[in-house]
Amino acid sequence: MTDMESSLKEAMQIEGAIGAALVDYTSGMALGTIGSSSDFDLSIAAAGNTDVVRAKLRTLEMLRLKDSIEDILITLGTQYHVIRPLTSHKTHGLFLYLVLAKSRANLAMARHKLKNIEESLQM
Amino acid sequence: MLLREVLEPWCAAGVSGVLRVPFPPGGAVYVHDGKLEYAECPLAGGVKRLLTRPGRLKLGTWRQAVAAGRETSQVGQQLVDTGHLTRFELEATVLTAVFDAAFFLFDLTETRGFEPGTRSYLGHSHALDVAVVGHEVDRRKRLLADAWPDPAVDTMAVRPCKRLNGHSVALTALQWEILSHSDSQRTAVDLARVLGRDTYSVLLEVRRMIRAGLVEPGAPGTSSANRAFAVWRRREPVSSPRQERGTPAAKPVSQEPALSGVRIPLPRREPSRNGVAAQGPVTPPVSEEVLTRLLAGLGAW
Repeated sequence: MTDMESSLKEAMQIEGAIGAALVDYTSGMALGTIGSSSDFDLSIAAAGNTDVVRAKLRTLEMLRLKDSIEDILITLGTQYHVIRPLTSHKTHGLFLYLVLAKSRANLAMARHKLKNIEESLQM
Repeated sequence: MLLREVLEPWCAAGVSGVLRVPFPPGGAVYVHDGKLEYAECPLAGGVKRLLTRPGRLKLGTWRQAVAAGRETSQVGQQLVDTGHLTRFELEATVLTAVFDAAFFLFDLTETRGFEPGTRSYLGHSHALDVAVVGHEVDRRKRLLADAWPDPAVDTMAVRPCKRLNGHSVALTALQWEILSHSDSQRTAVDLARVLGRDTYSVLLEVRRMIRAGLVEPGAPGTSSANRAFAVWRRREPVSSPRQERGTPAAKPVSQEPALSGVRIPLPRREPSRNGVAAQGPVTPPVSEEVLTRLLAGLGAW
């Protein structure tokens, strides 16, 4: 059983992590953020990514794919953004959002660790 | 003076206590060591509604925890200790409840004096900066106006549209719950209660669904919750643009005909209270380009 702060701290331990947030995708509100700075406001990024998740969920529905989103990867020039919707009924409607520095990150490892963090939140 | 402005000096001084709203809709904001710890308002989804209505906790379990923990301000801790909630669930629920209440309370003007020392029965779960909560309240109000500009729809019954614009539609879980519970009598406020959701999320989602052509506003709501909501809207200086006709100084933009479906510029307040400007008086924290793209993205939805 983990609390939000320790989960976000754990996300920051992932190699290359610059910031992480836990976001409600109806309202776009970040329930918690870590690593926000004057250059990168995670609350604003969280709100914007809400629309990414909603749009992707709609697309899956329209394609009638009976599948769920495990994670969404957005690759920028210098960063990776990983979005991972939480799936259990207790945490439904939330997603984890992780920002990684591309030069330092190991993407496969980061996705794996984010999965573990998601599981620990849902236990 | 707005409630959030009344709170500021108390928070700056690092004190603990409660600020109550004595008139309808009523409510209270609890501060602990200068940080916002809990807020409640009858219009908002409180922790009890959020936990018991959707069946996450049995009403009896909730009552037991309240009986055991009320005196010592440890109801939340009680639920975690007895294994009924995880720490994270408690945190997420309390945050949802606090932001929902703050949405209704922060811009009200009538408050009673600050009562030092009083703590919420729920106990400690999260310490929030009042300015952060204020920014979120501002953001929520803008998002709501962006979703659909006419606030009158909030107190009208939600009626599913008879026909779709296209051949198929995809719904989120909340949209499904709203559709399956809308009986042409319940308004967004009523639906939030029935579903055990926070009121803001349902207000927002109903406005988005009106825009998407999934539901339409019907007759004005008649429940007591709706009357309380209407009272709040009249008292609330910011999100009720129609009421400000008589005060040209503070008049926002949204005076267009109801239900026009056109995206109307947001009712902005004076620049210093605007979310972005308030975060940094000289330079915005995020480049203008990023903001423009985000706003475009929000608009596209």
